[in-house]
Amino acid sequence: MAPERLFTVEELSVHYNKVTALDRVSFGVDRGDFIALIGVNGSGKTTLARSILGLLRYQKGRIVWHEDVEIGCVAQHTGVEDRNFPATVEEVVASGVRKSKPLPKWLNRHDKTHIRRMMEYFDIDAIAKKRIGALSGGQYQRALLARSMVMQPDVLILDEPINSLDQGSQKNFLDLLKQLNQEQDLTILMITHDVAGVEPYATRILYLETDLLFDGTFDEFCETQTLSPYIHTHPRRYGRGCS
Amino acid sequence: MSNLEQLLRAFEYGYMWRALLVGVSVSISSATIGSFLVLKKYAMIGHGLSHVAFAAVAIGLVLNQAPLLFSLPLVVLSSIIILKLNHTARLQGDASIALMAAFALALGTVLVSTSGGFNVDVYSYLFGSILTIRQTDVYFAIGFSVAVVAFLLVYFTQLFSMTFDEDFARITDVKVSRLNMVLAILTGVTVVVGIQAIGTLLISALIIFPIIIAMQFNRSFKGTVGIATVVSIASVVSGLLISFVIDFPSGSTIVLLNSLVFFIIYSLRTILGVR
Repeated sequence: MAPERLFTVEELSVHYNKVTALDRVSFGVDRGDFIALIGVNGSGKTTLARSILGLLRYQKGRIVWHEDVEIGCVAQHTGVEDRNFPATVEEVVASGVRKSKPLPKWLNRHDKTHIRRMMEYFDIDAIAKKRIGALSGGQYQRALLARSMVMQPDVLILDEPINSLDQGSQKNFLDLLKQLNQEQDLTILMITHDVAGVEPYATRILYLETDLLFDGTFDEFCETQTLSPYIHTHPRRYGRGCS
Repeated sequence: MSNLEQLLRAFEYGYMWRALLVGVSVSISSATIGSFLVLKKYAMIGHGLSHVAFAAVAIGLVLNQAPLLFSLPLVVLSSIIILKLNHTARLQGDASIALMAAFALALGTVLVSTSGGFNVDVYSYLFGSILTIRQTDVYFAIGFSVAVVAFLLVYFTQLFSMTFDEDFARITDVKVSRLNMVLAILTGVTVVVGIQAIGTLLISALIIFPIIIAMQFNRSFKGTVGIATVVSIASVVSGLLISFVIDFPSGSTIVLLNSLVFFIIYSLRTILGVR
């Protein structure tokens, strides 16, 4: 059976003033894909993600949604910005409830039950009343993941979610993503620098350098290492898994 | 007459009741709206708008018209302009506020100097004078604070969502631009309503201090906004009464009280090692 196409990016171009951030990028995403989006800093990864999320106006091309697709996101976390924000984990997770419902817009009993279940699933129910700024990096990312999953998305876009985590927390987080990918058929598009790290998880690699230079499996990616000088200058990140 | 007797006498005066009612109304709207502004890193918007209010008051004095007549539309308009400048003109939020504040202060000072300089009238608008509060001001202040509370109750989760993470809020269908606009308008009106009790130059303190004090308690978002509101009401009521007893400008007394409370709580947290 042919995979179910969720959305297609067609000839997408984004310019900031006279600088080209994305140049005619095209690819399709199917249900159940686990995609690692890689590239050097400034290669357009976040611009592409923000375009797909509808947070950025692109100048050329289009994104074709093939059905009524729900989309969620986990943004990049530096571990600094929310330290003093006065909010509990529960309040942050609850903010994932869609706001397009009619008045009254406050949470009903169904919403609250759903939020509680999500916190149990992501093992953050015990810290529900804890301040979001007091969490460890791993707990924080799980809380943001739970917030997105409250929306029950078809596609989840993550922008370098494991950057600030230690190795153990990175593996736990990626295991959790794989579990969601396999158990709930969640489609994942994750920006990362650590290709070797996501090798056991990702089913597809997209390599971006303003335009899309590579779209294929991890094994195919290893065979085409010459496509960017960046890969050679970062053998530990990009070469380790290919040996 | 002892201070306590003097304090009790305060309640015998109609102007004191009017001041207290306006003060409590302003403290509710400034603390709740201020919570979102400060956490959205727009803490200085009240400061900028208070300078605009000063310019508007100066225009009113020059034209020999009721100063508040000019303040409301001018301050609300400026609030919207600051918001737009921030989003469209490649200016940081605080840069657009600083531009607006400097321009308004310069304009206000020039206008005041052409109309006879800094007289009693000007000072009462700068630092607050409860004697100038009329019955219609009381009705307006109460009506406005009720409207603010109703708006916050209905849109609380949306406002929280966009304050914590504006991008994520957009993805969950929160009308971020529209809500930002409403917040800007409400901020403008709060500044104008607070002019008489607090004064144009000090009203911004009532937007910033209560939430900063409340944040020292490490509570939930709802809890923090609640504490900010209580702190705001308590400081305004006690500030007005103290200013009556010792004959200080009301706005300055309220701000000094807030500063003292913040200093004590912050010091205690530091000494006790609370993180």
